[in-house]
Amino acid sequence: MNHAPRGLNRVLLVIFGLVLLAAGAAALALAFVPDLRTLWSDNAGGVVDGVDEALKAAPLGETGHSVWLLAAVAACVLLIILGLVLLSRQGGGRTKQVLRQKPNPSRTAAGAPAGGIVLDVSAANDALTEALQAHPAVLASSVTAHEHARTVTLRIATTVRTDASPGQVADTATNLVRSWNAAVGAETPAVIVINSGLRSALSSNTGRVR
Amino acid sequence: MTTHRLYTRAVRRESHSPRTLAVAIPVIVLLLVLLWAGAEIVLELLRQPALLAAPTDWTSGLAGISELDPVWLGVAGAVAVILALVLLGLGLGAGRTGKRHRIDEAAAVIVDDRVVAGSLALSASRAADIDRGQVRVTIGRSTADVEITPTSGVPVDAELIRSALMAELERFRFEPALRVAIRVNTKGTVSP
Repeated sequence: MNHAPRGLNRVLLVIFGLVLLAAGAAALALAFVPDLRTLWSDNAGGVVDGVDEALKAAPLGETGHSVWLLAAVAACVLLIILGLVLLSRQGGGRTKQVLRQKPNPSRTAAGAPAGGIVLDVSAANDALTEALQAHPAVLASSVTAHEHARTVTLRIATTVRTDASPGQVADTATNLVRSWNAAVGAETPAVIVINSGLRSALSSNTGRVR
Repeated sequence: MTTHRLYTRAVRRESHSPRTLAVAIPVIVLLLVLLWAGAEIVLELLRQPALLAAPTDWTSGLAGISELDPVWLGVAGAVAVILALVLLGLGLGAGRTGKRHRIDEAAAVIVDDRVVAGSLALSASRAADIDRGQVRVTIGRSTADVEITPTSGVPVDAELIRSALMAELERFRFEPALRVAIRVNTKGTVSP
């Protein structure tokens, strides 16, 4: 449920795929079509000369180099930065605070909290995993908080035994979310993810009780 | 954003691959190539010896590609085409991760199909009174194929199993809904 730029990832995969497809097809054509080979070798020299001319046409002062080389370095640096930005954007969206309540000056009644309230995700993690552990089918669970469009969502991930009834685990977890909301006094959206992992495959205890 | 839209977004994100690894590998390769190319150009500008090939030789190198052994050129082209098709498949494919979901007002629930298969196998084995190892469940996008190997000499009531599985699925309320297809093997096995 992280904030990876999925659409962009797919667009890039398609672009890389098309470029590689074109290069591969060109190499295959050069390898197996003799006419194309002669066409390529007849014209390649002219193209190389043309490129050299273009480079010489834009000299970099008295150095004997071309301005284009400098532009190429800049382009490399720019693309490298873009690539690193893309890689760094792949995760994210996690937050540590489940609940944030600003100080409310109008609440002056005795016993009302005077300051703001910040509830850390570890509180939700401790409470919910502890409660989920009581379900016999649950092997492990963890709770994280994610923020999107200024709404914090709880993500409750549980690993269950292979013989677990997902409907039952889902009901239990949903009820726990309701209890959590009641205890905290706020409606926090929750996403419950029920998985079976390697651990559940190793710890199945099926069909032994008759 | 309403809670329901938040939930549908979460469900979509949980049930489809983000393609992080698939895009990270070509991007890292591209970064390394760019790093090398940039370094070669800078060395050329500083009139230092090249690492592998000076930028001035790049165009003539590319032009001389037709002089290469056609076999190697063909192998390289074929490898490139295969990799390209893999990338296009990853980019255009649905990338489903095999999950069911249901959205309640308190929470969205996402279940791995393997968990669903496990619970269906257990229900089927209980309904037919056979060992769990005699049931194999394969879950597709909208069907659950249940393959049952009966104990030799003990007939199995497929309809009974079907109604048990339907009841189980009815209780789940997970989407996309599953159709149950039951296949009973004609050859039985010795009960373990």
